[in-house]
Amino acid sequence: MKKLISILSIALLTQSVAFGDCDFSKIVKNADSTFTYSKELHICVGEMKRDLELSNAKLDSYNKVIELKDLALTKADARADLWMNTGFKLQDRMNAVDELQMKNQWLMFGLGVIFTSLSVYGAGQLR
Amino acid sequence: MDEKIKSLWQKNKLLFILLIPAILLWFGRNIVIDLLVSSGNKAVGDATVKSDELKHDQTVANTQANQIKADADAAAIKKDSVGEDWNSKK
Repeated sequence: MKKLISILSIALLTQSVAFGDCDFSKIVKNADSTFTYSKELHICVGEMKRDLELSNAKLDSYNKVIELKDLALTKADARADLWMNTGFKLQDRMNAVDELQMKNQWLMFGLGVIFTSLSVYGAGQLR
Repeated sequence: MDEKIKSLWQKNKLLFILLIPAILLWFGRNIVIDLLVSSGNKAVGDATVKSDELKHDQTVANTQANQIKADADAAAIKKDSVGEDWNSKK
């Protein structure tokens, strides 16, 4: 998921930002080792710099977005694990309750038989 | 009549005494069943509270991420014009 978001981010960034068509071939090197270039080229480089800064800022923002989306996914996974573990606990309790209820039913049946027998015997003895 | 009851008790005292643990066992198991059910309900209650907290955190993180993305996209579209003095120190 993280790789997919990164690939999408890079694709979106390269589509939205154009790094200009500055023509660097017209730069003239002077005798004193300085350079002369046109005003248009100067502006073009400035726009390149501006676009680069915007791209970097956008990249930082997208990295932050990825971190937050990762955090959201982590929380979602934690919720899923929580309910899965709760389900296991409930299943264990249900199994224990079923077992105890079954044993109690047999115990109640046995006690019922004994008490009935005792009642009949005791009535016979008391006559 | 009382003597007959006393005689009945004397003859079958052991049986009656042995029945008491069985009855106590039956009551004890019922209590354990009630405790298991209430602990199960408590586990579900605790899980619900925790789940709500996690869901809130997830929602907040998603909302913040979406906002940051929208702000970044808006900032990228809005490009300030570049003047001749873009490389001068301000």
